Amino acid sequence: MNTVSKVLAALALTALSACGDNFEPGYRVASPRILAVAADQPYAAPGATVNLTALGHDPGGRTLEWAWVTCVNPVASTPIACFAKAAADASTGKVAFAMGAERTAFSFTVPSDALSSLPASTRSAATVGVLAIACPGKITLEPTPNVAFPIRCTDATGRALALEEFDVGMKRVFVRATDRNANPAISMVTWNGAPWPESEVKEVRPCADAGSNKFDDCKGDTPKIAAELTRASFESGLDEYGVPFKESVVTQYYATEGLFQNPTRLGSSTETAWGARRGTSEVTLWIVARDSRGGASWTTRRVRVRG
Amino acid sequence: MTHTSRCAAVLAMLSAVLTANPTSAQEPATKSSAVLVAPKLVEEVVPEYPASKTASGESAKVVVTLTIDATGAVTDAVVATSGGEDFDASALAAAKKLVFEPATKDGKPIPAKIPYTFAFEVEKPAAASTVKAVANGALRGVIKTGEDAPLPGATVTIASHGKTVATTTTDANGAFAFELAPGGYRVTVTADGFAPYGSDENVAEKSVTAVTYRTTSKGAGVEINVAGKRPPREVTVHSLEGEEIKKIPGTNGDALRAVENMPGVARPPGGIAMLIVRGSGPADTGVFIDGTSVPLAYHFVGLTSVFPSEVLEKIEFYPGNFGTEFGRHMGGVVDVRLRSPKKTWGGLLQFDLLDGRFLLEGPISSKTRFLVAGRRSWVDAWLGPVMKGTGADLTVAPVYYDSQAVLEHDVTPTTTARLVAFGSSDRMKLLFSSPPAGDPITGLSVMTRFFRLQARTDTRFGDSARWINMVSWGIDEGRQEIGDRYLDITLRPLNARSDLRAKLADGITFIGGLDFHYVTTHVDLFLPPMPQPGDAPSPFFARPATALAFNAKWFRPAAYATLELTPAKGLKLLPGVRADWTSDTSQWTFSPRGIARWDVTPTFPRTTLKGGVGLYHQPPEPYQSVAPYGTPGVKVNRATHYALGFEQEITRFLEVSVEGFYKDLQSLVVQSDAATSAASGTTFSNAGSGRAFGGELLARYKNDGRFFGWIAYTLSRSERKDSPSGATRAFEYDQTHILTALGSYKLGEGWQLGARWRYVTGSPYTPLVGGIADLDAGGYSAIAGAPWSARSAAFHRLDVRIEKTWKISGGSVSAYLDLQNAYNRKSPEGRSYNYNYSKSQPLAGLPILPVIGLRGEL
Repeated sequence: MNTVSKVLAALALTALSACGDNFEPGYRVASPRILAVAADQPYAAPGATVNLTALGHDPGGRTLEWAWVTCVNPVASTPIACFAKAAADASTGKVAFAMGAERTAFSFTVPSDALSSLPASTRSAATVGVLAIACPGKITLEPTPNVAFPIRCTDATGRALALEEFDVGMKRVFVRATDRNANPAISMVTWNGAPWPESEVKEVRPCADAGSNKFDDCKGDTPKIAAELTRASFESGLDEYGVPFKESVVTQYYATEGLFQNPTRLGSSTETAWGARRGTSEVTLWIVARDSRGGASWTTRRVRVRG
Repeated sequence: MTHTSRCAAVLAMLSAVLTANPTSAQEPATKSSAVLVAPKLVEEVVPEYPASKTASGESAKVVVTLTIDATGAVTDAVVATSGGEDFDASALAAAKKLVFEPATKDGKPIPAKIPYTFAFEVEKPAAASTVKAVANGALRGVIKTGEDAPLPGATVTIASHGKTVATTTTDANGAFAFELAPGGYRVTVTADGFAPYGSDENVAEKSVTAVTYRTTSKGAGVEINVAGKRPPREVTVHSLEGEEIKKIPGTNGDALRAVENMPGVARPPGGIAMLIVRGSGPADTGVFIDGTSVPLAYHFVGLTSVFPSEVLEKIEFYPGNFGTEFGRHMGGVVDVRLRSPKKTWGGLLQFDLLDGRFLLEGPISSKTRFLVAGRRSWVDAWLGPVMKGTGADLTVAPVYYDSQAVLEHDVTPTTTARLVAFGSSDRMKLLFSSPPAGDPITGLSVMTRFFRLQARTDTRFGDSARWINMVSWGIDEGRQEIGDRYLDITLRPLNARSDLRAKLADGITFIGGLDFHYVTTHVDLFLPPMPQPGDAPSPFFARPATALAFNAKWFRPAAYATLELTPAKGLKLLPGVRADWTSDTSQWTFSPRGIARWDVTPTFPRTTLKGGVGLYHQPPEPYQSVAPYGTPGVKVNRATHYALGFEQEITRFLEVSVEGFYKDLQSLVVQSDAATSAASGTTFSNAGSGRAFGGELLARYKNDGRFFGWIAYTLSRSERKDSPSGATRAFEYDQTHILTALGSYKLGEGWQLGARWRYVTGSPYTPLVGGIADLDAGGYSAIAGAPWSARSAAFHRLDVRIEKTWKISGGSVSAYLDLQNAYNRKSPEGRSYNYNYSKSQPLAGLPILPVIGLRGEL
């Protein structure tokens, strides 16, 4: 336990010191992004076929080419480990990338030995990782320059894009013999407390300068936005290994422009505030709900900025 | 979402908590923690001014080393600093007539050696003539230190027939003056840090009596050779005592943080409190409290160590090549000694920005005494609001406690028994009112606490043998939570040690003993596989976890023996061997070690050559070796230490030490990915190797009562290979240049001013070159670049401490300001990354931080 003090020191130091950066916030979709992937079966049994759907966006309006590949039981279930495993398996022909323009859906079958190949003590951590790549151009199986990354994305001019100019993500499908998980569901979105149907385009005036990255800079219209989650979204119980669980459900907000007060909310307290920056005309907002067992769902809204 | 990067880093670092390891335990040889009192002069003898020098009238100073027996008689006198042949002879003649109250240990008379200075001066008529004629008489004089420097601020008291008739304080030149009625007077001189001095003087009518008194600083200039107290036996041991521990700027008076100023000790990245010694990892250096290992040396954030300085007698720091009595560590050793309770009543209250503390001690009977102390932080009261003020979207509730109790009893005139209980508790909880977007966990919390009960006996068999027995038992508990993931560990360590030191013959001393360490543990966890140090940060939210609960135990007995040989005067050879059994690796290890010290010039100014070579074994951390979490079959780490250097006394107070070291590291335990076949998600092997080498310089001015300070410089390189075929890389704590310059000076009138300046080469780090989205968490998992291939900019900082002490009846009150990072240097302590790790910038460390405190002591 002698690492405790250093970790806590780092926590305090980090918390005290890292508040001064002015990086562009991650909720602002300023480059090609994969915001979410939902599985029809977040918990799937060996042999089951799982269907995935992706939410992606390129603010440049280019057509996204997608590539999909799976990794079974990656080390520590991390995206990096999944990518390493998938790349190794692809190089030996064990798995193949499924690719196509605007291919935002993907299906795969959970290997029948995905559980049985693991020691009994670690089966509760069994997953199939699904890698998704969204490229505003052409995907090839070559290394990305300056990064030991075996996928290359080139734009229409043939330029190899840096990793931050396209997006790679990993979605886990948990492998369980009998447990299942339902995706969280967003029943309604509200704008200043009133229902906000998907078809309605709201209007606001900008509240901050174009260069601002802090919500505190907002002086003016900052409507309250909230998502209502169904009661069924919050699952709890005892899993098939006898371990009690209680899902955490988070609501995450993304937008092509603007400033969120709290881009991530926990549980049923989903309300946040949002303001537009000057120089913006139309903004797309996405509200993504994720549970702590791999479930996800989303909805989209649009806002017009006047003045 | 600007908090994304911060919180990703927080989580990555917190994950290291969950690799929590119970520190292996071992007990160092214990030395007496008894109260030593220097000899006091009873009968002063004024040496005759040599007739041969009368004509020239020259002045001289002769320093004589006196050997004083247990009755207070001077049995030997040797000139240490010559003032010339005639002056030396006169001084030696006078020295042998001096009479002292003998030195005492716990009130018992003991033999001692002390330096004693005779000053020869011819009274200059001019000096007397400058004194204004007075109707009565006058006593005027100067108080000087043993180094012949004037002593301002000393209190001079004049008494007649037992009653005080006048008191004054010496001026900036150490001078004082009284106008007195003719007669005999007792003059007493007292000053902080100096032994009291007394002299009888006669004042004649209408004349001036001129005197010069010299007083000796406490401790610094007095060498008390107590039977059984060992002379240096290590290549290098740095000792910190009393005032040095409490008054070093930038440490807020904390004992362990003071050790970080010694050569060979790197500055932890981020200012995190841990000991990185001669290129070894933090877990490689053991910290022992009075012989018992503790799982936690510092309270969280490293603001202070788990033992307040007020209960410590001293700290001994061994940066390498330590003796066979120390085992299970291959870096360095910090040996913290609790002091004995006083035989008179005393107490302390202190409050500052960090905590409040108390201490109470006193006698229960003539043979029994006690000490109780406690401390509670109130960082929770102000850190939370401060962090909110900075925009940090966190609620922080850090609290620490510690407590100590000592009961000491003189069983017989030769045996002392001591019962010690001590414990520590740390709790910290971060609650996210709006969770970090990069990893939307609900919060983090860490709780660690430990308790030890220690019984110890110390028996002396005349001057030739000493037998110390110690047994301790305790409980260590830790709970860490990240969201709904958790790790609970409970350890019950039992330590026992029996240490015998016996003089077998002239020039041959045996040191040996048995050292047992037995631990039972219960672990309950619900976690995903933990990242290891150096892994790139990755979100925790929605990562599959494994539930695991298990019991484990390990037994690590050891035996050690060293012979201390003195084949010739000034030459000391210490061959020894230690044998360890490690049950969790089913492995015997044998660690032969040899140390040599040669006093080329044994008398002042002493010159000593020193060197050593030895083998050191360190068991793997239990989480690495103990199934089901660890990997069965992992073996112990191994290091070979080489050191060569010299020590040179320049003056009585100034000493220079230079030492080169080389450390060869083999069979290091490293992690290797092995899919999810292991419960930890990783396996461990002994594929690692490395080396550390460098040189250290220490120029130290010992406390002369007014000033202490040192310059410590380390030039070093530490490298690792993670596999036999892997590339050599910089060790994560490698720091090429480490320079510390510090000093503390008593200004007089109760004021003390100190400063410390540090310069340290920036630490290596692994650059993060991009990220892959974790679509279950909504954050990014970082992609690491070449391990430890980048380095932060250099760190430098000035700390200043100023303290004012007021004497009150029976005690003192002090107020102090410990100003940390006085010129507000924005030293980089790491890097801050944007949400997908494509951009980064340096992370500045703590800004200027004033710590104000108030302290009352009886």
